[in-house]
Formats: sequence, C-alpha cells, structure tokens
Amino acid sequence: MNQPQAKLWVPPAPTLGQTMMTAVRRSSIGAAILSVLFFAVKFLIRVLAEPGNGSFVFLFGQSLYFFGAAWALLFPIVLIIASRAASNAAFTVSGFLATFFGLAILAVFFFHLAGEVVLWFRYTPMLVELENERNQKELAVLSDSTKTAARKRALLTKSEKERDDALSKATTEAEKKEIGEEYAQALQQQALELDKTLAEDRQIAERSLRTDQSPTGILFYFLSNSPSNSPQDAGIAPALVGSVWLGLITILFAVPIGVGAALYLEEYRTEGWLAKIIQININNLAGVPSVVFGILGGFVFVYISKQLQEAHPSIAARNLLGGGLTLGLLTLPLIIVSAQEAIRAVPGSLRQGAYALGATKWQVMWTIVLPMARPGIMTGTILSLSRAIGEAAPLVLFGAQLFVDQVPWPNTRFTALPMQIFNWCDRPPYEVQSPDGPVSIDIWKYNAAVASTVLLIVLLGMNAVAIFLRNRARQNMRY
Amino acid sequence: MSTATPPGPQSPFREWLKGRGTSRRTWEKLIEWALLGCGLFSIAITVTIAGVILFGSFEFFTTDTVKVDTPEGKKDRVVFMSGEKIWERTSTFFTGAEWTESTGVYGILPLLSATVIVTLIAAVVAIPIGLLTATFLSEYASPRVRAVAKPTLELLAGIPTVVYGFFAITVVTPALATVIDGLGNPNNLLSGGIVVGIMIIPMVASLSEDALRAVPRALRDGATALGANKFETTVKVIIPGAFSGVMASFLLAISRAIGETMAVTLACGETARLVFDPRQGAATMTAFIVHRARGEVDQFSTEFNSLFAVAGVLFFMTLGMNIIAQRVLQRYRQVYQ
Repeated sequence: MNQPQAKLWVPPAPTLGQTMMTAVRRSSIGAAILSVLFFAVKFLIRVLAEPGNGSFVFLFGQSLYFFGAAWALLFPIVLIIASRAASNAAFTVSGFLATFFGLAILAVFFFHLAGEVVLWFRYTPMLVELENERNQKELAVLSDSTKTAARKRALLTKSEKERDDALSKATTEAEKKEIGEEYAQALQQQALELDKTLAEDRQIAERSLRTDQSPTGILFYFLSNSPSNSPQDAGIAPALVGSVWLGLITILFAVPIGVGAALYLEEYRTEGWLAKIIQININNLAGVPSVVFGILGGFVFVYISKQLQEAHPSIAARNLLGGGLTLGLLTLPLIIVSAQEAIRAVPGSLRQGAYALGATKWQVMWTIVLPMARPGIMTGTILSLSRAIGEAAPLVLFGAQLFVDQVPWPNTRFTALPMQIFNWCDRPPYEVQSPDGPVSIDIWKYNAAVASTVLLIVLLGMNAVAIFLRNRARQNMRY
Repeated sequence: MSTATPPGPQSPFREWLKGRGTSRRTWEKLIEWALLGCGLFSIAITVTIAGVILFGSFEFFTTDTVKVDTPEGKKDRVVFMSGEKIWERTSTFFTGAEWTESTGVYGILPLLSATVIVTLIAAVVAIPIGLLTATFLSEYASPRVRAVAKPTLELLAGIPTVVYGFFAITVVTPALATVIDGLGNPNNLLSGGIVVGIMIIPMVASLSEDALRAVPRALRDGATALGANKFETTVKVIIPGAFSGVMASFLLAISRAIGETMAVTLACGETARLVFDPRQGAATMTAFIVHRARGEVDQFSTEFNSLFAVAGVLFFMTLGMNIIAQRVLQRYRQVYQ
C-alpha cells in the first residue's frame, strides 16, 4: 500500500565556488560598464561646462576609483542574485522594505511637522508677549496726559524753531507779520493733527494688546484672523474661507459636466471616431501639468472678468469665481475618468431590465445607472476635489493674491490655503529684538507648518470620507 | 383602466416642455445633445489651452518690447521684429544655453537641463521603489498587509505638492546637507528630485500593480510547474508579461514629475542657469513659469511672453509622453482581455 512517493526532480545546485566565480565575473563586467559611463559623463561635463579644467590623468584615476567602489557595491548584490534561495529571500525583504518606505517617509514627515507645530506653540506666545510689552509701554505714554503733552510739545517745538529761523531771516516788519500768521495757522493745524494721530496710536496699541495667550487662544486667533506682516499676528481666515469657496465652485462646475461627459462616453456613444477622440483627449488632459491650466484660467477668465469689470466695478479682475473655474477645469478630466469607471461597473442586466419595462434611455440613466454609480462617482469626486484644494500652482498663475485681509466673496480677489503656505515657506527668518539682543526665529516656517497641518487635516478627512464611502458601497452593493 | 406610465423624473422644465407639446423623443434627443456638449467641452479645453499657448508664443517669437520716447517720458511699447530677428530669437530659444532677460537672451537649455535633472533623480527614486512595492503588493503581500499598505500609499499621493515643498526645504535639504558637501541651502536640485520621486511612488506602484495583477494566473502556475521560485516567476514571467503596463506607469509618472511645480519651485529655486551639478539650485521650466507669473513684469511684455513659450515646450513634452503612455497601455489591455 505504501508506495514510495515519486521524487521531484530538482535542478542541480551550483557549488559555492561556481557561484562565487559567477558573481565575480558579473560584478566586474557591471562595474566596468558603469565606470566607462562615469568617465563619459565626466568627460562631457568637462568639455561642455568647464573647458580646459583639470587633467585627464586625474579623470582616469577617478574612474578607476569609481570602478573599485562600484565593484564593492555590486559584488554582494550579484552574489545574492546568483544564488536562487538567497535571491528569493532578498527580493521578498526588499519588496517589504520598499512598501513600508512610504510609511516611513510619512512618519518622518508627520513627526517633523508635529515638531514645527510644537515650536510654533512655544514661540508665538513669546512674540506676543514681546509685542504686548512694547504696546503697553506705548500705551503708558499715550494714556499719561503729561507724557503725551511732552511728546506733542517736542514735535511742535521743531516747527516753532523753524518759524523762529524764518523770522530771523526776514527783514521787513510786513514780512515778519506774514510769516507769523502763516505759522500760527500751520501750528494750530499741526497740533490738531497730532492729537488725532496720538489718539489713533492709542487705539491701535490698545487693539494690538492680546490678552489670551493660552494654546487654544493663539490657535483660535490664528484660525480667525487675516494675514499680517508680524508673524505672531498672522492668521489664515481669508485663506481658509477662500479654499472652501474654491472647493464649492469646483464641485458645482465640474461634477455636472464631468458626469454628463462620462454618461455620454459610456452609454450613448461608446464607439466611433468622436468617442475615441474625446476619450484620448480626456486621458491626455488628465496628465497636463496644473500650471498649464493656470495659464488658461489666467488668460481666459481674467480677460472675461476684465470685460465685465467695465460694467460692474465691484468685480475684481482676478476673482474667486475665475479661480474656482480654473480648478474646475483641472479636476474635470479626473472626475470624468472616475465617473466612467463607476458607470461601467453597473451591471448591464439592470439596464436591460429597465428597458424591458419600457423605460426610455434617459429614464434608465436617471433612475438606474446614476443611483447605482453614485458611491463611485462621489468617491472619485472627493478624491479629485482634495487634489484641487491642495493645488497652488494654477492659482499662482491665475494671479491669486498672496496677501488678502478680507473674507473673500466670488467677485472679489482671494487667496487660498496652499498659496498662504507657499508665501510663508518663501520668507526669510524673522528678526526679533529680544532683551538679550536680536534673535532670528524661523517663525514663518512654523506658521507654514501650522497652516499645512490644517490643510492636511482637511484633506485627510476628505480622503477618509472617500475611503469610507467606497467600503460601504462595496458592502451594500450585491448584484 | 388607465394605462400605466413608466416612472420618470418630474421636473418643471419637463412640464414646460410637455405643455409646449414636446414629445418624449425630442426630450431624449435634447438630453443626448446636452451630454454631447459635456463631452465636447473637454475638447474645447484642450483647444483653448493650445490656442492660448500658441498665441502667447507667437507674440514672444515675433514681437519685442522697446523703449519709445513719448511726451510723457520713456514708455515700453511692443513692436513687431524683422524676419531676421524673429529667426534669431527662435533659434536662440531652442538651442541657447543662456537665459538672461536683461540682455534679451532667451535660451531654454538651462530650464530644460534643470527639469531633466530633477526628473532623472525622481525616476531613480520612484521607479525601483514603486516597482518593488507593486510586486510585493501583487505577489507577496497577504490581504491583511495589503489592506494597510495600499491606503497608506494613497495617503502619500494625497499630500498637497506645496506641503512636499515645505518638507523639501525643512527636512530633506537639512538632512542632505549633513551628508553632502557643498549642498546649496535652501535651494538645490537634489532635494527637489528626491521629494518629487517620493511624490510619484504611489503612482508608479498602483499603476504597475494593476498591470501585474492583470497577468493571468495560468502563467504563474506554468512557471511554478517548471520549478521556478517566486523571485524567478516574478522577474522572468510576470514583469515581462506586464511589461507594457509597467512601462506606461513609468511614463505617466515621469510626465507628472516633469509637470510638478510647487515642490520644485520651493526646493530648487527660481533662478534660471545652466547647471549639471544636482547640489546646486536652478529653476526648472515650471518653477520659471511660477517665478515669471509672480514677478513684477508688465503683462504681455517680451519678458512676460517668454512664459508662454516655456509653457508650450512643457505642454507638448508632457502631451507627447502621455500619448505614448496611453498607446503602450492600450496594447497591454488588448493582450489580456
């Protein structure tokens, strides 16, 4: 009964010596090819970029050195590849490492971002405190009537001295009288103006006093205030509102057109030259760089707004609506492609059932296909919307402002969160006059870090919603 | 007995149409035309993009800004150039190794070289890692590992490019500066390339994974029956079997890297100069476009119009790569379906 099992034929394994020799041979060939390439590139650079610089003997030496290094690097790799078992194991391990390389990078980035945010929470109250101290000193002077009077006096004596100079130069009595009257009037005016400016200064100083320096307080201030030239007072409110508006306009513009185009390509005209051209065009449009869409928006929409501006002066040339439409154009191909996939996944039997009941084509689309494809369309829309909200390049090309202190409306100029981050990333360190002398802090970068965190929270939240929708649709849909 | 009417949408517009005696057939036709309009809209976008770029480039190649004496002082005026000068500007643009606006020398090679260097570095980072990730996810990973790894990779693709730029100047450049001598801080091509490479890893990985999964099971089984282990099956059977799909993913990712803007602007700087050393900073084509659009230059002066010419080169380069990639992709779809 117990028959001996047929033995599997296994290819004869090479001996260790054979494996080594193969590895030596292959790594030598590889290193030789690499060093020749190295020599060629170096030679080209020498000829093209820095002619007559350095000797070729030195270049040969460098190439030899490079050969040694490349051989030492290649040999273990080739040795592993030459052995079947080792190569299999190494491939598995490197695949695993590569997959989690992304995770590691994400961890590093987020860790770093968190560090910068913590620094922001540390430095911003300090800067606010410094600013408060300055303002308090100012207030003390401004609210003390004798000191204000002294300051006013000091400014006025300057003008009086000028008058005395003029008087001493004057020769006749009539001239003196004229000058005296002129200056008397001017001095009176100046005194009034000084009173006004001093009162304004006081108001400004009072307003810039910030009482709440707790972490929640400064975070709330950051989220609810306009950008400013002093980093501790800068906020992202207009940018945040602008980004929300842009997202809304993008959806309202791109989703109807995108779903319509997808329906046409999937249900109405699936074959023929026209469908083919539209399809190729959409696939290519999805790969066009976002800057190019910005050029389109900055040219066409700005031109149209400028025409409208003549009739309605309240319309800014580079307004929010145009920016939103630009982003809409950018997301349109992405939405079309994802909607096409969602519509394609709706089983044909459902359509045929509806047709058999006497429904017209549009009734089938509206009552069967679109509701069935809705989760897929929504997922695709959210993902492309998150791309649109994160884009800064088209907005820069469109001419969105970097510094907007009003909450935007579709007809006004605007800024967006990525633009704000870009602006802050581009600034040099901030000089602070601390009690121990001037210190430079990278506070703008910390501002950018906090704004990035806000943006990432919004986008990751949107992605999470998309993934949740997709999973729920997968569970609920059983054809 | 009333005849049953199929349920349908009741919109005021339809009621209005019915009131006018419009038949259902007309309504259906109208909808089809509207949907055709949606489809044609995308073609209109492409045509308008090409039109704007060609118009601007035409202005750039044929006109010049000169200072003209007017009663109100010197003013810039745009004038047509002679044929000789048009030829000079065109030939300099495509072959010139210098971009100096103050002297009116516009040669695209500095911008092109920076773009090529950044793209090469990005490809060196993204292609091996992306391909290894794709093979791991499609051939090795258990469903549970894949359930964790795939959304994570998608997360990497969801980070805005301006945040990648922020990472480039605050994380990657300082880290590289401790290892590499003479690294330009804060602007260098190396950190820009690395960051763009990280950005396109998910694209390479997910597109190649789709291609690898499309390889029929029979091929895997055949290789196993011949005694191949998993490594040999993957490298000698599956990757060659999915070669066109993998190639298409590389091409699409590279075209994305060429068009990448914000990260490169922040990481590599905005000065146009010819460098071959990735440790130095130089403006890529996209960074130059951003710089020009942000700069204090009069709109539609020659300096400004150079933006359109650069954008044209960028547009047609990426368009060409995308068309090739789509062709390649189509071929692999036909093989296995």
